[in-house]
Formats: sequence, C-alpha cells, structure tokens
Amino acid sequence: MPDQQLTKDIAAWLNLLPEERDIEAGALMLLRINRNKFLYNNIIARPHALAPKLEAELKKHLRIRLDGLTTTDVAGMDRRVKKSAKEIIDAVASVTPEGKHHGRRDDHDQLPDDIKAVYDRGLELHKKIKATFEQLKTMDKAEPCDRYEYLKILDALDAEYRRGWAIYDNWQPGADVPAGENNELPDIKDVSLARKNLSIALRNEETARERVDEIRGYVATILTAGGGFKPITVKRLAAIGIDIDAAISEASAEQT
Amino acid sequence: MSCTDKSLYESLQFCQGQKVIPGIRAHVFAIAKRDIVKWPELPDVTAESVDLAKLATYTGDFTLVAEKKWLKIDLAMNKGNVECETQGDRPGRTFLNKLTASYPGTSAQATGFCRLAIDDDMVFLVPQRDGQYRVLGNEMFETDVKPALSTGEGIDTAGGTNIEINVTDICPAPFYTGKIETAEGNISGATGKPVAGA
Repeated sequence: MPDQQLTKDIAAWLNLLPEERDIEAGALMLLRINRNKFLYNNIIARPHALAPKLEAELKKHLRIRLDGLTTTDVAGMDRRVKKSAKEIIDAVASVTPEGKHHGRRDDHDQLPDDIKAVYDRGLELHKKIKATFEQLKTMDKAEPCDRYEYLKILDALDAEYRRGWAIYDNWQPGADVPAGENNELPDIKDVSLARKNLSIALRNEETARERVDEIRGYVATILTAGGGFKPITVKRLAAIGIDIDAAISEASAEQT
Repeated sequence: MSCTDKSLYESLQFCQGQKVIPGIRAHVFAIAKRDIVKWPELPDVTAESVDLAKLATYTGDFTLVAEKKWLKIDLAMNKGNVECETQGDRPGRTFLNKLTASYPGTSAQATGFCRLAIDDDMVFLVPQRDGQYRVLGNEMFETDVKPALSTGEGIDTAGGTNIEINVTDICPAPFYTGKIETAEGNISGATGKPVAGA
C-alpha cells in the first residue's frame, strides 16, 4: 500500500500555486518515489526550467498512488498483465481441459440472447486486448509507471474477457443469466482519440473556448483511464477555464 | 593559501554526581543504504556556527525511499556496546565504529536476515540508555556486517544470532537527533520518544 502521508503531501504540493511551491520539497518527494538522483540533482540545479517536468512527474505518480499502488506494484502489474494478455492472444479455442475456453458452443443458437452477447463481446474484447498489447510493445523502453494508463486498460479488458468466457462456457440451461458487467474504463482507442481530439481542439484558444464542454469530455476520458497531461496542455486548459488540478484534487479528496 | 584559524575546542566538564548509564537499549534500527535517498548532514569542522557537540551530531533527517521504514531488530537484554577505535595514520586517521548486536534466537527469519546482510551495505541506528540514537554507517564508507549464529549448547548455554557491525567513519558513532520513520510510527533520534506527524 502506498504511504498515505506521502500521497497527501504530493496532493497538497500540487494544490499550491506554482509560485508557492517549494521546488526542493517537490523534487525530494519525487526522488523518494523514483530514486532518480540524476533528475533530482538537475531539478535542484535548474528549478525554474524543470518545474513543469517535476509537476508532470508528480501528477503521474499521484494518479498511480490514488489507485492504491506503488511503483513496485505497477512494475509487478506490468509483468502480470502482459503475461496474462499474451496467454489470451496466443490461445486457440478448442475443446480442452477446464481452464481454457471451449470456443463457440454447439448449442450457441439456442442460448439466451444475453449469453450469446457475452460471446460476441469476447470477440470484441480479444481485438481490443491485442491492440492494447501491441501499443504496450511499442512502449517497451518506457518505465512501467509511464505505461500505467495502458496497463490499467489492458488489465480491465483481460478481467472482463476471462469473466465473460467463464460465464459463457459454464452456463447451463435453467441457470440465471448473470447481470452484465460494466467495464468503466475507456479502451485504448477511446483514450488515443481523446488525446488526438484534445490536441486539435487546443490549437486555437478562441475556438477552444467555444468547445469547452466537448474538451471537458476528452479530459474526463483521459483522467478516467489514469492518464496525465503535459504542463503545456495543463496551461492551455487553464486558459479556457478547465482546472486539471481541481479535477485531480477531487479525486485525491475522495480517495484520501 | 591560508588555513582558517578557527578553534572549536572547549573545556570538557564533568559534573560530580552526574550519572552516565552504561549500555544500549534492547533494539537497534537498520536499513539498506540504497533505501536512503537523502542523508542528514554531519557538519564540517570549517562550517559556521559549530561547536564540539554539533560536530558529532547529524543535522536534519534521513529521507527514505517511499514506503520504506527503519527495520527494528530486538536485542538480547544487557548485551551490546558501541565501540569506536582510532585507525590509520595522520593525516588520514579515521574511526572504526563497532557494535555486536545480539538477537536472541536463531529463527528462520533471523537466519534469512544474516544471509542478506553479509553482502549488503546497511546503516544502523543504536539507542543509548538515555534514548539518544547514534549512527553506524555513513555515505563515504561501506558498512561491514558479519553475522554469526549459534544454537547454544547443552541445557544452559544460550544461543542466538550475533550481528557484528564495523564501519569506518570520520566521527565516532555520530549522534542523530532527527526523525526515525518506523513501522510503528515516527520517533525522535534525540529522545527515543514518539513524535507526531510526518
């Protein structure tokens, strides 16, 4: 479990106005999390130049900590989720011992619509899992905490996929149809699209002001997936009245 | 080039009737050096506003890696003392700070600790009887930890795990008055008593 006091301290630091922040204190908090002495020394040597970088890094780690994870947990999650997703991608549907899904049932056409929908959803999820897995492969050189956004999506897709097949494979005539699971996390395409649309929308401040509600939607999609924003993006959002810090603070107040 | 003409020497008074309680308390704190991200400072002899006591006392707190705490090692009663010997030749003389910490037992956990510690670089905080903590370990020199284990013999010879700690330092086991973050909460290195907050 993350140290709650440190999480609160990070949130409190981020809540301050930039000019009120103690850069050294912020850099020390980041050093405690990532042990990156090189970055710490650079921030201390060039506080004004690297203040935005410090802010972005702390926000990234705050999101992870608010989800109840440490960087060690995320590294473990990285290994677990990728291994599990690979199993799904490599698996071939067949009549096999229990633990593997059996593919389309012989009585598929006689199944209730809700159970048939689980099968269809499984096919859709398989594609999404593969796409997210491939995206993560392109980020192999990044740190696990930089891949967290996509790991979270992949983990949720994986869990829903396996649950779905368990329901489909084991359903017997006469059994209750389980209630549908709501995957609350946006998938990788939604997040990528949100980022792309946000970037386009923020190119011009005047037109961005007219699209504030739409932009709020993009921001919400990215935040829900556990993503963060570059300092320049935060600045552009603030210019049109969208306070990212307030959004994160609300999340931190709920969870701490 | 001129050398600083600064004299820090003071009279060392010992008041008649003053008590000096021997020994250390029945525990030490330990941590791997890599889990310390920032050290407190031991004043240099040339620093401003130092006196004899400040020369032997770290200023500030140990800052640990997130989610890491000082580990408590319970000790056998009335065993262990911190010793500091001079070593080397001028002008490179240093101190060899030593402690043999006696853990009363040879459990699997203690044995596992020994297995790790022999090749690790650790820092120890040792409480005097009066609650003041002293530091064995520093940034400059590696701490040499040599555990030894004995099951005891017969029906009346006690066994246990002895953790021999040796470390070179420029100061004999400096004092540490800052915060010690433990699993049970924070305590003061100056008094050994709990302190509130972060």
